[in-house]
Amino acid sequence: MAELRNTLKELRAQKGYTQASLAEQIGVSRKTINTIENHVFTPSTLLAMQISLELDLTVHDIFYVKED
Amino acid sequence: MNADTLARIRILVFGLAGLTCAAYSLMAVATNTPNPISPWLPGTSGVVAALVMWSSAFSAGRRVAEIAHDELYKSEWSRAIKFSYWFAIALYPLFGVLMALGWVSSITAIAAMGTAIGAAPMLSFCFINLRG
Repeated sequence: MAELRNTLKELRAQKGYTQASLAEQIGVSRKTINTIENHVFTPSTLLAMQISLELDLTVHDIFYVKED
Repeated sequence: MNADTLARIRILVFGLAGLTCAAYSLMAVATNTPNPISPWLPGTSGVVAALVMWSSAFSAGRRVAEIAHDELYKSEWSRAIKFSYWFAIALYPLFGVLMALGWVSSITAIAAMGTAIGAAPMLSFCFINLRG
């Protein structure tokens, strides 16, 4: 089954954000960012776009589909 | 107060109210009485939980409250409600058997099922949230 994965942890660190600072900028909890990075929670399209906008990247830079 | 603190308060009050309701339900079944302890206790615990949540969110401010009730919270609450729906349905055959065996009276079953159904979303939310 296809699965949505991401490289948010690495890209966020490259841009100099902590989980808390990114969460604060987007208006979500730090746990939300943490669970996205750990592939526990799949964000909505809106949240994925808000994250990519904040990091000045495209959604495809951060998120990708992993096939089994 | 930040969003993490608000989330911790939410878990605490949901947990306490959920455990109160669950304990009432289990004690009702164990003693086969609809009033194992004060029947006001489960409802009061729910009202107190709501008041604590509301006052905490109010004092934290709108932005912090919105962060604490973000997309992840809505997703976890939704999963808790889905579980609770099926849990509530499963209670009917379960208590049907218990009543058929004469282990609980119909009035006890109503009290126990009502409080168990009340406890289910709060406790399952705590479980989902703490596991994540």
